[in-house]
Order: sequence, then structure tokens, then C-alpha cells
Amino acid sequence: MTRPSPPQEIRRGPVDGWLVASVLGLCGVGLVMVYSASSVAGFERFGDASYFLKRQLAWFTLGCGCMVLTSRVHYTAWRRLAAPLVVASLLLLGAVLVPGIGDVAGGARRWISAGPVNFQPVEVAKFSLVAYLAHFLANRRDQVRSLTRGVLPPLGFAGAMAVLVLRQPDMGSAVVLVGIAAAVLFCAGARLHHLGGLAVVAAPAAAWAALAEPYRRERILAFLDPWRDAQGSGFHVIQSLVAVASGGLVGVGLGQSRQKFFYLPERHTDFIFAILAEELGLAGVVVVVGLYAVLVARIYRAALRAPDRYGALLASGFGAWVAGQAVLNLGVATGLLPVTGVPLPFVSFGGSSLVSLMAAAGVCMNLSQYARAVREADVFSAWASSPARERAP
Amino acid sequence: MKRAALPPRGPRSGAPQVLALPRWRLKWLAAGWLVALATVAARVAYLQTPRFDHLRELGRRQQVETVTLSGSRGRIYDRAGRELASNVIRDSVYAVPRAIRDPEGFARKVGPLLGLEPSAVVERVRRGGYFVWLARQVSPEVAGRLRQLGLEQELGFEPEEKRVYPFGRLAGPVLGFTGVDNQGLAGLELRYEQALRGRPGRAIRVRDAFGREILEGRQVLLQPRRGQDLVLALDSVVQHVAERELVRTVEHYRAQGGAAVAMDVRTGEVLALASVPGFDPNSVPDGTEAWRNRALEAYEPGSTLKAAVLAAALEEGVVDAGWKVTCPGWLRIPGGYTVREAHGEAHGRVGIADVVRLSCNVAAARVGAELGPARLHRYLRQFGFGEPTGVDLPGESAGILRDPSQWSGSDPYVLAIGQGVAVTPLQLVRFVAAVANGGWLVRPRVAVAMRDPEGGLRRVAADERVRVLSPRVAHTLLLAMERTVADGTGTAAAVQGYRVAGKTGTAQKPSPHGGYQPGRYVASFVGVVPVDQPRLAIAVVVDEPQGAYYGGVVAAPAFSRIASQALWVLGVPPGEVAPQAVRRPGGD
Repeated sequence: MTRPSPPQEIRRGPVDGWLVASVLGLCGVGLVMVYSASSVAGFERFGDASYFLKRQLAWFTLGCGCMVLTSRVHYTAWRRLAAPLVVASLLLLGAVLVPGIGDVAGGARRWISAGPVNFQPVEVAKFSLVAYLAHFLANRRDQVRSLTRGVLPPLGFAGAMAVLVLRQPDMGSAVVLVGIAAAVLFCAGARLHHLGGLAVVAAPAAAWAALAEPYRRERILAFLDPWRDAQGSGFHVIQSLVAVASGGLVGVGLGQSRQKFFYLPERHTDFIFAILAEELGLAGVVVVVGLYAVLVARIYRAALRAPDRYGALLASGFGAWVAGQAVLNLGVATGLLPVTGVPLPFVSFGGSSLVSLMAAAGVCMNLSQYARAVREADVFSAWASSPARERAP
Repeated sequence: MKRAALPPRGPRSGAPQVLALPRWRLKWLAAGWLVALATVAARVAYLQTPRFDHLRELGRRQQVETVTLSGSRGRIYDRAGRELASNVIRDSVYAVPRAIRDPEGFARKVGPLLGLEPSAVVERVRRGGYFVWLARQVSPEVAGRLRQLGLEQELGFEPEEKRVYPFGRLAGPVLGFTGVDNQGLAGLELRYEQALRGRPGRAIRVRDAFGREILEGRQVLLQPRRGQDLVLALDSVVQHVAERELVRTVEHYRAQGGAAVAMDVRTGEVLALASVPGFDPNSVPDGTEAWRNRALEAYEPGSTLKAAVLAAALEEGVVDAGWKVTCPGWLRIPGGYTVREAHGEAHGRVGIADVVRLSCNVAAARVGAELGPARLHRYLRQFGFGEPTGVDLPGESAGILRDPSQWSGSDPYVLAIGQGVAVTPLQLVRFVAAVANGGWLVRPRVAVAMRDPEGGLRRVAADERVRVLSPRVAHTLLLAMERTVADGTGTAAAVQGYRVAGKTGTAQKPSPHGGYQPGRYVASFVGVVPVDQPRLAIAVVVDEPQGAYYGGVVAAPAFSRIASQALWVLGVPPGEVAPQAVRRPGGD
């Protein structure tokens, strides 16, 4: 792959160590917690306590490979790959809906199986969406101020994907896709009244989407009052809250969770954070949330210091993906948001999510090497960078 | 943290706006994410405050339960240390309704193995929850086949102790039985429930969402204490002999049932206590009829009570060795009744020995009349009739001995021949034991000692005895009773090589509507052996024998066989040879 030479004043620096450390730290936490949360179910269902750990380790290895690869590919290369990626994603999202191609689990058709490997097209779609929107909006720094030419087309892509995803059905991923698009538009300079107006217009549609499906309506009602049906729709949230509340300051001890003995559903996937909070307590939660904070801050730092508009939008899109999905997952697990099943980035069991996110992190790492100089007045960047840094007089 | 190769920094102001992006938006967005993350952390901290104790409480309630650990139930041994009641570990089977998706299919698989109607299984499963018993203490074969069904989620097994009685029917009515929770429901199991059960312990059990125990999760709060073992006075061999001979007699005479009691006259220790028909406590039949212990039930004794009346009269000096009375074969008594001899024969001149030897009704009735209601009642009461013996078995009858104030003029005559009064076989044995041991009324006892788990042996109760007869009267009466076997109504009770004393009894069964039931008799024999050094008092009572009904014919031979084998088992040496028995037809 030919690497376009960077702009004159930009020299290639080292990869942002904080970025690498926080990603690997989260992956490490994820592997440990997947093992802890899944061992009971793994033993029960497959006679092997490390059944899920082994699979996650394999995915992690693959993810590391992807991350190294994408961190070495110049980030501008994704501009050319963006369109094919989006097309492929749309095709896969369509294909997964076809019985015979898509596999059903937990009442939703989300997976495509290829031999022993299952993957979720929606995770690839998130990556593609970011790459494509950054490309689209980087070229249109003025049209972005127009509703029809700048704002609606990106939302159209995202909306098309979201509609396909909703058919699976997968409300959480649809929310993430639209959220990513909105965040990238926001960063690209879309007019606030456009975004706000669309939000007002979309609100009834979103409300309809949330309330039309009986199971989603149940979830909303359960969020408002989980105790209304503690054995039914409120069950997830209550069991999650029980786990989190049982953790205390330092937790009941790694591997000592009791809620993982089938009380809490989706233990090693969507609700892995609850097990983490139960076993490692507030201390563990602070560490994990801190890792996300560092990761998100360093991604946006890379965006702010990016040498070009494309790089900045790319990083801010990935940042929105990681941060939005993390906040959504953590909010659900702590009862702050209605139940929507999205994996906790880098931590939840699930190969597609892990590999896609690690690839995105690799892209950000590549970008971080081309960071521009920062103006001294840039308070945020100054906060985000090392205090030992030399400042311009 | 010095960065090695920072890109060259632009001038302080006027840096090229390469990005052409609203930088503040990125900063604010990033800051927004950080605030959201911080909110989550704060929320987690908030969830740890006492405000959310109810969540932790809910967790504890669903994850943890307190379970009772039953201490191993004490075993029951006979006097030779043979195990009469023991325990085995059996699996009890429960269903986990929450894990069962198809109750009908589940019931079809599981029901037949457990001997349950599928509909009954479905009904239980539909109750929901994580735990419902399907069957308790199933056999290892059934448990094995259930385990092979591959229903790990749906079925659970809990090892439990099950009571077993290695000797089967032996002493069933004495031992009693236990319920599914190993609680004593009858017999000694019920009487000594407290001691046998031990002290239950408590443990905290951590369970998964299907109600299954998590391996690491049991925490014992209080160790259970094993129950105490019970050591009985009962001798399995004597018991077996008594049961065998009683069954043989009951079957031979096609009787309704019977009872036999063998007691050590010196201590009141019950060596055998048989009740026919009995039951196998390993598989207890339904209905209380089969659970009866006839040795503890009252019946109208008839002539066997004459010995007690005579004892009272001798004690009071109403009669003495020289006392004689003429028996014309009948006696008119107050109320317009007539007392007759069994065969209508006239005994002629009879003395005190003949009251028991020949079982003379006329003489006995006159003795009773001379004693009068007050003294007769007082002595019978003193001899232990009309109140429970205090034996350590539940459900003992007191018998019936009415207060003299309710007696009519004929009652002293009638009671003296054992009518209008009800006694238990155990009461009779206890009385003749007093005659045999020189006048001491002992308290009959089945269990003699308890052994705690550490091995310490403790007597159940101190010997308790009351003098009710002077040694002289006891001896006189004993010799009179020996005449019954020597040349009286009970010759069939003789035991080769031993001197035997006893008294026959043949009583028509009273009707619940007044009067007596024709053709329905209770035949009995109560006796002591050996006379020279009394060891055993034995009573045999047969209810409604067919074909023959005299105590001397039906019950006396059984007494003889039980006594001879029991003496051999107990190693009682033969004494001076009894006077040659003059065989006479059994009569009463």
C-alpha cells in the first residue's frame, strides 16, 4: 500500500503510549472478567470452565493482529476503502436477515456463521460507517452547513444501516450507529439547529420505535419501575443492580461473584460490568471507568491534533463509538438507562466487537503519530497531554 | 515522561487551521463523554450506600438460604447389641420447575421411574420456583436411572438418611417407625424421639438461580449432633421366639390376633413384646389398625384376674391356708345373676389353691364378696390395674377399673372372676412378676440405656419398684399357681425340666351393647418360670381363637414353647424337677 506523504510540517512521531496502554488494559480486564463471568456457564454447558475464555483469547489474538496492521497503515488509506467497506457492510447487514445465512440466538438474527467462526456484521458496519462519514464530511467542509447536502446524507447512510439492524432486531446497535453519525456531524461543524431540529423531528419516530415493539415497551416500563415486574421485564435490571450493589468498596473478590450463578442474564456479554462491579467493587469500577476516560481522552486528543480534517473526523467518530457504547452499556448495567443490549467495548465477550474495536484503535494509534503542534491556549489538549511537556514561550 | 520526537511546534499564534473544524465541539464532546463516565462511577458509588441495602438483601435472600442439618438418627440395639434400627443414605429427588420448559414431557420421562402419575408430576412442576420434592429416599437403582435421563438442570438429588430395620417385621410394633423426615411416628421411635433425633444443626447454603447448591458455598453455623443410640432390654432371639410361637398359635386357631410379653421378674426388663398381626416398619401399611400393639391394649381378662383377687384376700387375711368352701357349681349373686362354673361341674370342697388350680368361679366370687368393694378395688389398684404401667412405649392403655362408688351389688363377685374389668397383657405380666419376685411391683421397661455419640452409656431410668405383697403371701400364691400347671387347668404350660406357675384365662368378649358375644373368646395364660428361682413372667393372649377357646388349650402351649426356648436362650439352668404333671383336660 502506497503511503501518501504527510503534509510538510508534520513529522511522524511515536505512537501514543496512553492509547496503547488503555486499550490493552481494557482488553486485559475483559479477558479476566470474561473468564470469571463465563466459567460457570461454560462448565455447565460445555463441560469446560474456560470454554469462553479460549474463544475470547483467540479473538483477542486476531484483534492484536488487526490493531498492529491498522496502526501501520496510514490512516488516509481508509478514505479509499471507505466506500467499498460501507457497501460490503450493507450487504452483510442485509444478508444476516436472510434465514439460512443469519443465525438466531436469543430471539435475534445477528450472526453469520462461517465454520466455527460467528461474526456480527453490525460491528464491521460501525467501523465502516465511521470511515465513510469521515471521508464524506472531510470533502464537504462547506456543504456540512447545509441540511440537505451536508447533514441528511450521512444520517441517511446511518439510518439505512440502523433500519437493517433494527430488523434483526438490535435496538442497541441502531442507537449506536445513529449516535456515531450524529457525533461525527457535530464535530464536522453541522449547524446545531439542524441537528437539534432533526432530533426534535426524530423524537416521535424514536419513541414509536421504542414503544411499538411490545418487548421494547416492556423494557422502557421496566426501566421506569423495575419492581413492577421483578421476575419478568425488570429482572435484568434488578439482578444487575443487585450485583453492582453487592460489590461494596473492593468487591467480593475476583471469581467470587454469586450473581454469575445464573441469576444475572448475559453475564459475560452485555452485563459483564455488573459482575465486575460485584467482584472488584467500586475500586475496580473506578479503574475500568478511568481506563475508558484515558482512552476516550487520548482518541479525542489525537483528533484535535490530527494533521487534516479527515483524520480528526475519523478519530472523533471512533471516539464516539467507544465512548457512546461504553456509556450506553454502563448506563444500562447501573440502571441509568433502559435495557439495550450493546457489548462493553474491549471487555464483553464477543469476537466481532473486539476485533472491530481493536482495528479502530489501531487506526487511532496510527493517527496519533502524526499529531500536530498544539496551541498553548488549547486548554483541553494541555490537560490531555503530559504535564512534563515543554511549552512554547 | 518526555516525548522524544514531538512534531515541530508552530508559533504561539496564527498556527495554520489545518483542521478547519470547530475545535470546541470536539473538546466539549470529549468532556461530555468523560462526564457521562464519571456519572456511571458516581452511580456505582451511590449504589453502595445504605439506601440500597434492599438490593443487597434481595441478593442474599435469593443466593443464600439457611438449611437444617439433621444429625444422624440414633440407632436401636437389642440387649445383645444387635442392630434393630439403623440408617442408610438414600437420594431424594427434587425438580427445578424454573428449568423445566415442557412439564408434560418431563413428567412422561420421570413419572414412571418414580411410580408417580405424570399428571401428579405436572401439577407439582406447575407450582413453579426452584425446588419441589418429587420423591424422597428413592432406591439406588431408581436414582441411577434418573441420573441417566440427562436432566441435569431439571432434576436434583439430595442425599438423605433413611431409616432401615434390618430384621424386618421383628418387633415392628415395638420399634414403631419414622416418617419421611425421619421423625418418629410410633413405638420406641416416637417415645424416644428427642434422644434419637439428636440436635439439628444449621448451615448457610449458597445456591445458584436454579436452587442448586454451589459447591464452595456451605457454611456450617451449628454442627448437628448425632442422636443417642438406644439399647433395649429386648432380646431379638426371645422376641423372635415369642413372635413365631404367637403367629403359629394365631394361625392355627385362625384367631384375630394376639399378644405375648416376656419380662424379667426381677427388673421389669421386657425381653420380648409381640403383637400379631404386626408390620414391617420398612414398609408401613396404611391405616392404624395394623399399627396396634395388642400387648398394651386392654381386654376383659376373665380368670387370670383370680390370682390377683386371691392375693388381696390372703394379704387381708380374709382367707388362709385352711379356708374351705363348698362349690355346688353355681352361685346366686345380688342383682338376680348366677355365677356358674365353666363346665357346670361342682368342685365340691375347695381351698385357696383350687381357686387358681381349678379356676373355681364360685370360690373366687365368694372371696371377692368377702373382700368387699373398697378393699378389692384398693388392691387391684395397688397391683397396677386401672392405670398405665409406665412402660416406655406410647399408646399404652390404663385398662378399666371402675371406682367402687359405681359398683352394683354383684360387682365384687363378678370382678373376682375377671369380668367388668379390663387389663392389658403387660399389666398381668407385671402382676405375676410381683408374685414371683417376692412382692415387688416393678416398672416394665423396653429400653434400658442410651449411648451418646461419644460412647457414654447412661441408664434410661432408675429401677423403680413398690412392695405390693408380703413375701409370705407372694410365696403362697406362687405355689398355688404352680398347681395350675401341675394338675390344674394349665398343664399344657409345663416346661420340661423347670417348675412353672401360672393361671389360665378364658373370657367371653363383652359386646359393646352390653352382655357378651356368643362364640367370641379371649384365651390367655400368664405364668412364671422357674418357680424355684423365678426369672421370667410371660403372658400369652389370643383374641378370638376358632375351634378351641380355653386358655389352657390355646394359650398355655404357646407359653410353654416360648418359655422353654427363652430359658435356653437366657441360659437359665433347669431347677428341681417339677412334680409329675397329672394330665387333665383343659378347663377353666
